[in-house]
Amino acid sequence: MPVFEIRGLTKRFGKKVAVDDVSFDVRGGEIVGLLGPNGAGKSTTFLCAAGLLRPDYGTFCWDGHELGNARGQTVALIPETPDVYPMLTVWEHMEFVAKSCRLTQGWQPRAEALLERFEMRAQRDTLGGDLSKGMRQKTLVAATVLASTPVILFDEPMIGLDPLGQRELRGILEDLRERGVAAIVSTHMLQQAQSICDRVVILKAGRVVASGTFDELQARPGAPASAEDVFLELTR
Amino acid sequence: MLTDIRALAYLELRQLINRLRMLVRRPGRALVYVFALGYFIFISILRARFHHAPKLPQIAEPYASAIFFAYLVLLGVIAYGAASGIAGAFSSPADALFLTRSKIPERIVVLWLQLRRCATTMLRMLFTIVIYTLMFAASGTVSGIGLAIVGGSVVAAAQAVPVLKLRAVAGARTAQSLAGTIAAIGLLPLLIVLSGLIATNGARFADGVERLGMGGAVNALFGGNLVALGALYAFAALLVALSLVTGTGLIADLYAASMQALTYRERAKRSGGAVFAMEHAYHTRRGGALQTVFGGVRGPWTIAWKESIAFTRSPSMQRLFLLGFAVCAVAGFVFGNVAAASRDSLEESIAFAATSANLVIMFVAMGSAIGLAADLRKPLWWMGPDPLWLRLVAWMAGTSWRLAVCLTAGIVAWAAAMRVPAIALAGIPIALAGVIQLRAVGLLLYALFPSTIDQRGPLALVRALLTYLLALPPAVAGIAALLLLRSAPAGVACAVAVSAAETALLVALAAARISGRGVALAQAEAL
Repeated sequence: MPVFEIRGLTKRFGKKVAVDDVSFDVRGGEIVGLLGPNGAGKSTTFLCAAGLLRPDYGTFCWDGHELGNARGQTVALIPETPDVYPMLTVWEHMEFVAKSCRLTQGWQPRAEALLERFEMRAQRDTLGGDLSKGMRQKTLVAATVLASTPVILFDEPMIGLDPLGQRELRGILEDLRERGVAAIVSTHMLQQAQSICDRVVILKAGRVVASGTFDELQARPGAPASAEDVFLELTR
Repeated sequence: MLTDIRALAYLELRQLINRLRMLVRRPGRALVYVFALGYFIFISILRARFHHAPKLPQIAEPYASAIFFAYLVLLGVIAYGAASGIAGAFSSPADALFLTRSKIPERIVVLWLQLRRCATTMLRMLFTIVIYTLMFAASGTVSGIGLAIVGGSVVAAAQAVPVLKLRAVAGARTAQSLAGTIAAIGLLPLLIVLSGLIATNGARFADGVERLGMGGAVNALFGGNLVALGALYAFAALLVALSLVTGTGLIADLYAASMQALTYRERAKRSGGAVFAMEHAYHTRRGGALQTVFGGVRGPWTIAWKESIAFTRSPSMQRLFLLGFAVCAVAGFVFGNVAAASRDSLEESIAFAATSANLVIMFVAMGSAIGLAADLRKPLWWMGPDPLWLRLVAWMAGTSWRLAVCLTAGIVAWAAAMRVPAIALAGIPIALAGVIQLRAVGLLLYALFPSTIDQRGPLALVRALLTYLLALPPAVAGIAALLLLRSAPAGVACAVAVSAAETALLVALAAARISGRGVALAQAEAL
């Protein structure tokens, strides 16, 4: 499986170091949780990885190849506020992605199947401005999957979703795993991270303070028993 | 490349079609567009039948040279904004997300963003010019001046990408220095030609600046000289073409610059309008005199206090205010001197006052859409037992005082230059009443049609027309009082009182409309 690597990422805003020499990787078909308290540097890491923020140092590689400035074609960000075009319908989003990503003919059945899979057929002709947060998130994910983007970054995806929406999102992530997509999910919700993620990377003040599976983190000598206590111990 | 352009054209076309469909589905909104179109056709026919619009006369020196150098200063200030990392390119975060993850080459995306920005600027300026010609039916043919203004605006818009590239390559300080140099190159000759109007010993230097021939270029452009206009548009095209050459490795900068510009635009909508910005970051610091004025207020007036905090923490707002203050004061002083030296100073003064009032009405109506979404969505804004109309009055006061202070500075400078204190005594209350009323008209139209797109479109025409219409009763009342009582103070007081009554009515209507619809209005603002 190809690997998405972040190496030595550093980003400063004036004197403040938002991300400090962060390195980790995620394989295709793997879901990695990026955990950390507010201001730990999760969103900054994502913006840099998606090419929307210029890092001071650091490289991004996919399948052994270093990604340049146009890495948005390989790494797609689903932000905490999932923005879509308010004046395009769900289907028109798919059509624009198909045209702009130069998808060959026959993309329509795939797009239809994706809408079906994400239970969005009823919203096919709904304008983006009229969609709920969950629906906008699904539209972005469907468009990203249609474009066959191999790496997807989810920034706080559970915030603002009702329990049904959260369950649907978990299903979508499982679906992406099966498709071989490398997914990174930033979240505060430890239980969700435990149930979704294969591994986690924990950030504190812009630095990686721990990484591994929850079992590995909890198995460290002297580590607390619960995942929540592990997280608090590492980030306090 | 053709496939890429086709994809981008699809994006714009579908959005336009959906917008039109939405408009048709909401008859209230469609009515405004029909009204604007109907008015346009009606006045066009009227104009064609009864007004054989004369050609605009040549602009005399030193005003022609002053226009050129003032434009250069404006270019420098706008370039400074881009050099500081603020420039509208992506229209929304979604725009950035979808365009950056497409397979369209970055150069094409950047070129498209530039073209779209230029097209939007052209449309907006064309719309402004159309409205201007409709309102001032006997103003003469404006094809030359119109094309020159559109071309000049496109140059100002198209410089963003090259400046951003310079910022990315050479650093913000270098880019800012270049922008500052452009502004300085315009400012020095501008001050020299203006000083020539006031001081006789300054005329010698002013003559030297006028001999540079820039005033001639302005007259050639405004007169519709094809060579001059062609050169202006060729320069704009060159700047756009430069983005094709320089538009690589810029996505992150364009994204950051666009988000800054969007944030600033949102803030400008709330705080009374601004055309450009130099930086957007709020700086947490204590305000001085302003906090002393607003700090002691209670009840609904805390809304004005809140707006004052935003002002004290935003260097860009402060710079814009100082710029407006300086421009008004200098304009008042210069034209006051010109009027004092002329044979008929009363006629000159009336012409200056009328032009200034028209400019303010046009500028505010065209340049500032009102947006209350950020406030209406927050429960904090609604807390307390005070009625909504009082909150709106406080909001108007908190967001209008800057324009009022700038106009007051202009009037005081004008009165000082003419050595006639009565101008200030009469002009200041009228100007203040006018500023508040202009805001109230905007507020009522916002309450009726909250969409920013509508406000920047046909509602700008409606707002300006309504302002002119509502200016009639105070004017009639003021003149009647003046004639009947033979007292200028009574005339001013009467005009201000009628204007205040109209403003109160407008606010009451707006409050009745907003009450219970806060969230719906906030949502509709973005559509």
